[in-house]
Amino acid sequence: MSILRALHTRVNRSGLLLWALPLALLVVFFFYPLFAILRVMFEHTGAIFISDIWQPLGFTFYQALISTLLTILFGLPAAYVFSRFDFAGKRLMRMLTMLPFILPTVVTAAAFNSLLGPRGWFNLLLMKLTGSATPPVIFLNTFGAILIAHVFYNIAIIIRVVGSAWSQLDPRLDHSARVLGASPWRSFWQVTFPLLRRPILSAALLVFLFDFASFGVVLMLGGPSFQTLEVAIYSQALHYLNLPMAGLLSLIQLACTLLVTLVYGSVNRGKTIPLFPRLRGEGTSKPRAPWEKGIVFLTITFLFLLQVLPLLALATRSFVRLEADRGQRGGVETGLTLEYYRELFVNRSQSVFYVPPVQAIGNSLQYAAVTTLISCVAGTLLAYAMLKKGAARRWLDPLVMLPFGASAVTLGLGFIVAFSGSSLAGASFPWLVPLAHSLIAMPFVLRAVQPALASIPVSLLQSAAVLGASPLRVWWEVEMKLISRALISAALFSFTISLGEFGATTFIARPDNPTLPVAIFRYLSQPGAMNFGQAMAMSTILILVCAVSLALLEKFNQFLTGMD
Amino acid sequence: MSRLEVIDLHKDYENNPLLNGVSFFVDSGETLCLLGSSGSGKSTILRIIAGIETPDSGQVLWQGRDINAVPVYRRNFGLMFQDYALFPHLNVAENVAFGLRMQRFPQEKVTQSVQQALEQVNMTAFAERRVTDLSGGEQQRIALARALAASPQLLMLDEPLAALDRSLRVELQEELRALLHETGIPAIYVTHDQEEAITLGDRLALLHDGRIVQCGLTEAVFHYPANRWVAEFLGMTGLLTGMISARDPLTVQTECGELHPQSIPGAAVPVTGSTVTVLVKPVGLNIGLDDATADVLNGIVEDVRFLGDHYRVNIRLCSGTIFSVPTATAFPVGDQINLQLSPGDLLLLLE
Repeated sequence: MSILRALHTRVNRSGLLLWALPLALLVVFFFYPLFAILRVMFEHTGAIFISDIWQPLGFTFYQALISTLLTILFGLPAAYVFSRFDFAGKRLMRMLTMLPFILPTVVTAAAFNSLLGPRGWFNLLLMKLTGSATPPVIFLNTFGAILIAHVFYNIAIIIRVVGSAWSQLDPRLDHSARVLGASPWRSFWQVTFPLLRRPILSAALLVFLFDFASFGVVLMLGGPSFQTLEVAIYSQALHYLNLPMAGLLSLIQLACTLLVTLVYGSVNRGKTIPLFPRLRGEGTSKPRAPWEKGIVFLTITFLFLLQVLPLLALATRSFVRLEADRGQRGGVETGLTLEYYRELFVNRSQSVFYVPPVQAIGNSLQYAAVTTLISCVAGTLLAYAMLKKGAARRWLDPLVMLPFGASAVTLGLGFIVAFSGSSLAGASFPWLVPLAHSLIAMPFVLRAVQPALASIPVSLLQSAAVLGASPLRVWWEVEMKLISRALISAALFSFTISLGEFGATTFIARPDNPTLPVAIFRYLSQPGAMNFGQAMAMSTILILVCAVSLALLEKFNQFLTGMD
Repeated sequence: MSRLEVIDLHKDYENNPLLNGVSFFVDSGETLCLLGSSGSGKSTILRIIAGIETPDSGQVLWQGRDINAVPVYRRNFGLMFQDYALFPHLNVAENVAFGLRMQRFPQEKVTQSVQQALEQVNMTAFAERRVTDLSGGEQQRIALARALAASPQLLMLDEPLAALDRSLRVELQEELRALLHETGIPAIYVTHDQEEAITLGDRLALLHDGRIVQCGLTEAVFHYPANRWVAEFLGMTGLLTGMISARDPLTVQTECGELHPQSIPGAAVPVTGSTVTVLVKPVGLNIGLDDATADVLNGIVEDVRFLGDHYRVNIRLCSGTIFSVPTATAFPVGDQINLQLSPGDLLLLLE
């Protein structure tokens, strides 16, 4: 009878067992490293300068705030266009705007580099036109580069979250306001906007959170003069070897992100975006009036320039040979080539690594596969455990979401502090990278699977049992089938996260065993056309993988629409 | 001949007794209607019989054998849920086939039984449809087909029509009634709707305060409600409180004068001075005819409704009670009328 009882309340006494594996993962690979950071702070001596805290902290808030405001400013018109108009290529465009969101930061850096960098298409074109010997546009290492990259990344959040809320607003609300005498403008401010306030706030906080924890973008596009907390942790730990300082910064970072996460959670608690039953396509129409056509055209053009052009620049750049060295005029001799791709398989002694880059691809794929497995199993177990109500859940719930608020760099720092020199150290234990990735991916898995699991009516499971299905078959034939879409989405997402993860991996991956993003980063930092070209080639491969993964995600829709 | 019997079921829900000694049985060829207000524990009884829940004490016997230890998936009972619980990831035919597959019938037999079950509910044309595209009535039919397909030994239906609109409900009541008699499987039908219970039940079992307060043939229950609660639950309105003033002939003193009700055959009549209820049966009353030998009740016509083939007249009795009576002709509102009551029209109810 105990199996039945467990079936009936889904998880009853066995709840603790469900917690065990994910909790063990968290304790060993999150809380222990966090504790290790604390210990290092107090045990080691290092120089702690208050100015070294205030400067990155202030800048982190400042850039996150400006980035968020810009993202909202540009995102809201796009959300409006996507939620109210039908136009040719809407699906494709929607997908293309989502692509940057899942792109690795190194790829973003490479993409903007290939478009606006000193050897990017834009500067090459201007140099050719003006005959200038130096690149006329300075984009890299500017504040503007950081801001543009952040908008590039996160505009998808505004479009998705606000756009979906907007498209789910009952158009009759607007219609009745208009019938009651409101002008379109007043109807927007009096009816539509108040209803969208909560989704806008929720999306803005999410954008702020991502901008706040931005690492790769700031490191690679902002250059040495801009330091967010994340970059400061990185340079304190790896460049100045000042672990206490890095640890202190990590804790400050953790506290800040936790705060924002809490605010985000309270904004989303009991959210009541009016969800009226509506027909598909109700409230959307083809743009007819000139201003409608205008706004759709402008939005699409803007999104194309912001999000698609850099990726196209990157992809084309990987197939074009430019023999000239930096700033060398006249020697620019263009030609199509596959050389950079072929070169990936060659092991050159002057290469940054002593292994051919293709091995980095192999590493990344392996790590991504392992990450997918670990995060999906652990995340699904957690989702089951979360169904159980009671005191245990109330305590463990925030504990589980803590890694969500922790930054990748903090996690990476914690890993090297906790495990370097131990038997789990990189050399003997290659699993640290996928484990770190799993911790980063697990909250995403949880957020995808838990709602799917919670929405299964108990009567379905009981019905299956009455029809003769044993508990195991109920689980397999009903529960697993019903959450399969969510699980596939979660798996794809984990895979993509792992493939592109940079912050934690820079700390953990061994120099002679890099992942793809780490390799791209190093190639980008090296001079020479060949290194640049190879970075472009590897980035293009990553874009392709991300695009395929995104296309599949769209197919299994669910996670992305449930992103809010 | 199959028989399901439950004996003295007890079940607490959040430390309050929900079932407080429930016993009844059902035989093959008959439908037992379990009737009770919502929250009375009707569904819990079904879930205990199905094996989804365990009783705190008491027995469930199938063919005389205690099956408390048999797990839900080995009982081979059919249970139709109130929300139908159709599997959204399976189409109509796959839903119907689910039970057969779980019991590992050969593919040939599965196909054949699915076809047969869909025929029984007139849904063969829907076999390949997605269940999420079906209307409420169609879902109800598929849920029934799914419950019947695996030839359960016992069929339980948990308010199967509650989610449907009225006209559809009446139509499906008839279909269900025919189907249940055709299959001959012992059936337990749970509802809070007395009309549904009359249509479908061969016998009624009324659940109140965690006990079965009355169980018997549907007609018998209507003729002789066991107590005031049963009469009220069945929608009877002519209830007058009074005190027994004499036992032979049985006389009850009420606010509306002395009445002479019959007592339920075989039931003990309380002692003189006891507080009791007299039920005025609404059918076949003499209105306005002068007959000195019978008891008379005076009242004022409050409201008259025309219902197609008869009228329903609401009469305010002297006690203030509104008594609702079907009549062949209309009466003017506000008129005083006399109800001439013969001994068969009045029944003594026990509290």
